[in-house]
Amino acid sequence: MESKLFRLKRIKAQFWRLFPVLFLILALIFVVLTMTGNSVALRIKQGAIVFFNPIVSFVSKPVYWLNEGVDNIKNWSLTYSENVRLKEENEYLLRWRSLALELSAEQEELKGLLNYVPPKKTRHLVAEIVMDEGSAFTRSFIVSAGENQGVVKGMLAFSSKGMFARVVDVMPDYSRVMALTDYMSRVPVWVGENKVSAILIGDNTTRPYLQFLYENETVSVGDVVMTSGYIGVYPSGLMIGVVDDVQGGEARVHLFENGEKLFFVRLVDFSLAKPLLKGNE
Amino acid sequence: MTAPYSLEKILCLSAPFLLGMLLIFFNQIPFHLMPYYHQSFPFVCCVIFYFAVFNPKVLNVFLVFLLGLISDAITSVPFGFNTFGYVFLFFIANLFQSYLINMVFCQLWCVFAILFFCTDIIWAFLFFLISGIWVSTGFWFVQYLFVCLFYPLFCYVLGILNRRIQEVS
Repeated sequence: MESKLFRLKRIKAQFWRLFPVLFLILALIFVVLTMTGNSVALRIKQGAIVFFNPIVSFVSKPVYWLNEGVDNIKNWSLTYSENVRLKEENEYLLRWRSLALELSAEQEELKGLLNYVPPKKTRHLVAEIVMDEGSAFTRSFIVSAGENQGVVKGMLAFSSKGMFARVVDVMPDYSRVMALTDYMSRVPVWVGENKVSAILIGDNTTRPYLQFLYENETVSVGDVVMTSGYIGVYPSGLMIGVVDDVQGGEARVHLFENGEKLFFVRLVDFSLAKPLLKGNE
Repeated sequence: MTAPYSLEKILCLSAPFLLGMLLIFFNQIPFHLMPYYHQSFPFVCCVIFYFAVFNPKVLNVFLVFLLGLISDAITSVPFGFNTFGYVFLFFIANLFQSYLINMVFCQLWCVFAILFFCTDIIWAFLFFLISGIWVSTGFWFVQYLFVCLFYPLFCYVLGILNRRIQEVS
């Protein structure tokens, strides 16, 4: 009788020790459910962001102040050199401005001659980055504008330097934007003056790499990388970076903006037709 | 007299979970101060390991699972991804608790380093299964190194907290 009781106790103890296995299995089930696009899992995620965001915002306030302070100190020390650089840039831009005005007038005249139908106008809004989800596995942000503010899936995120991310998930008041440097990011691009077709693939580093669509394609350092508009996720002609390293058939791209050290983003809707793709890309 | 005491008790008992949650939120703050590309560090693993060994009653497997779900919910990884790693770490540490509890600090640090390495490998493998991409070893190593280096600091703070919890309960 005693040995039976002892055995029962041992089995019970063993069960409690192995109890976490049940949670491991449950976690795996959750992974599978999310991967199969289960809407409940997605809704829970969205709900959690809405619920936890005020806490994260509150916790992050001192960090924001610290960042601002450091930025201010940096800016003061760089004022003189920055002023000289801006004067030079201003002169250079003024030369371009006169050329742009000339070309614009010429273009308007030609459009009138050809009965040109202009493309749809873009719509844009500015949002604040409230969460930075950088990790070894992901590179995305949560921004403070969602469905209620007019954000739609597929909008592109810009900084003053250029495009760097795309809206992949929209909640009522928040959206998730995935950076071009994320592992899951794939952007059809043209490289250089010859418009070499390639796919810009993020690998969570600041410099994504190019995968060429055709063999024996060559690009060189300094070639500009712009969106090609294939598949319809991105409009064509958006300059996103330059090739800064070519080694053994692999080309790395220096992005004009990699999403680092940003507080605000401009979300732009190019009103593109829905792409024939599923999931994130 | 009873009310403040019970409030202190509740606070102390929920402190490991709240600390874990705070560390998860802390990961989401856009810092912009690091010299390198932004990286988040799962310091919450230190908390999970510590309490799995020294006081699994206050941070049990259910709470660890909940921490994982919160972490998954606010990041863009699939639901269950971080949860699996956290529960795995807790499970192994708790399974060998009787051996680990008698170890000296340096030995325990080594065990944490090995266990966290295994957890990281599992995450990388899981990520590969999900996306077909192997994570860059550089990022992976920086994350691993930082968490392991900070373990003694967490251990010291959690030690104080655990003593307080034992006093109160």
